[in-house]
Amino acid sequence: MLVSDSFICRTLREEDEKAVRQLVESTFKTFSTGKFWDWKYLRNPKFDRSFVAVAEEGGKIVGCNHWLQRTVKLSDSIAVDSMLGASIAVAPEYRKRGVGRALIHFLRSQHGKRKPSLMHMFADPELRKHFHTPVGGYVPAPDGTISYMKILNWNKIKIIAATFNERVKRGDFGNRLAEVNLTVVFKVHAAPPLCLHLDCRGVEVDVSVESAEVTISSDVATLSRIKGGQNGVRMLIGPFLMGRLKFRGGLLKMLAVYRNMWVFREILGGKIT
Amino acid sequence: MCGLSVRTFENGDEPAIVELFNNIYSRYGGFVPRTVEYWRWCCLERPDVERDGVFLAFDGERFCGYLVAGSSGSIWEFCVADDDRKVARALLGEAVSYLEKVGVSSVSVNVPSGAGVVEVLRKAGFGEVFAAKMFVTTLNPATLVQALVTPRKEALMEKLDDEFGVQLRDVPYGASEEFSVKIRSISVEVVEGFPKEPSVVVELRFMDLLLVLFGNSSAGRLLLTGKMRVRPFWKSGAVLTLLSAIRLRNSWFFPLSDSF
Repeated sequence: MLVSDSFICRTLREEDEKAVRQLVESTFKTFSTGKFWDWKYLRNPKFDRSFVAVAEEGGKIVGCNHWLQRTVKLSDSIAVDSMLGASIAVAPEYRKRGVGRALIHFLRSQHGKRKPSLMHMFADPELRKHFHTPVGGYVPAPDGTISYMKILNWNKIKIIAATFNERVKRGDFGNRLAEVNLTVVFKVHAAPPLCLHLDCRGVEVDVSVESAEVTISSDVATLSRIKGGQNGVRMLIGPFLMGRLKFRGGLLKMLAVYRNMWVFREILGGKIT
Repeated sequence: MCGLSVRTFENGDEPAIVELFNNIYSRYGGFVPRTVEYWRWCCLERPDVERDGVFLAFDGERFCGYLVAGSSGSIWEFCVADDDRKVARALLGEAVSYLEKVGVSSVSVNVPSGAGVVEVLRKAGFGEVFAAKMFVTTLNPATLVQALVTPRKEALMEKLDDEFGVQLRDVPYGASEEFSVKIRSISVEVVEGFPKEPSVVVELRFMDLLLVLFGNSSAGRLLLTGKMRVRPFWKSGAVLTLLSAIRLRNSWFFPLSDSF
């Protein structure tokens, strides 16, 4: 057990499972409710409770970190036992208090005598740079994997827009949309066009492409990089200069797009596919 | 080709699937070698995978590819023997129709760079995307180096006759700071801890050692920039020979099923 000034780190007990499942699900939205954590950990043939750490404060689970045992191939002729570091989650109100670091240190100290020769994880490169490398000494693995995606429809955008419009109705955004009347079409290579109309009621999806005043054209890779980047508008400059992001429309309407960029960020900034 | 056919998964297909996966990716590193038990857990029992989403392709009687699609829109595994584009197209077509039918908004897949299926994906309207990457570290540099040294043992015993004491700086919490590599004409031993009388002492940062071993940096550059110190300096050649022999050169590939 590792004791900090306000919380303790210890291994997972059966009675913690519900709280840990909830914490992981609320942190990683891609987890399907209930089933995913059970499948990934409890039903994993190599699951071992002693490789899961929890941080507890006053009887409440405020963080968790999971290790999963695996064999990983290093080359055509070498395979080693490895630990997959996964699902490290800290409750929002306990973040930036060293809980994540303490959980990692706890698991690393617990298994001192059977130290794994390899540890691996999958992460966003930015998070790796600011957290996993300083804490765990992670370096990039040899990179021979490419991820591809095809957008089939924009159904999730409709759901996001409906939620956004509810917030507009409630007055969450004041009168920021009072004077907006703008139709923008996003043409993403190999995806159906996405046409959005902005006015004082919010955002309407799937309006006629013919009515678009501004056209923004790009490809899935550029869209993904822009969404994955941390610098907002600055991320647009590079693709624009390289011709991978194109704008077409009247100057005043383009300025209107720029002024209302926050709306597009609300609608397109999350998981849109 | 005798006639290509595609069908969905049937009980008992697992051993053939596992064998095909391990054969196709045999020249890569970075993935979990498949066993029937692991494949059943990571594909068949996955919450978003139904048996209708697992497609197997046959050229006549010959099993030549499979694809595992989940209702989350992920193609968890996509394996095609001999990089056959016709097989890849057939499997992908079935998978996309299935995913459209279950109502997904997008389809994602991981493939090895340079594989023939890349062209098939591009023609089917897939675009390369920014995705999570794989990162590695160790708690026990000695056992990692031991694993890398073992297949090169014979070559190292021929070229070197030294005991290397390796001291690591900026070591992350819990990881070992020192190890030794003893290479003699009849054996190679890698042990945790610093040897009593090493013939060569090597000092470098923990992460620089990993970057060299995983092929992201060169030992020569570390030496030239002063990031790696060798004592006595005239033994630098032996250190470079050792590190060059054990560094990983294979490309790494991980299917989506290994990463989530």
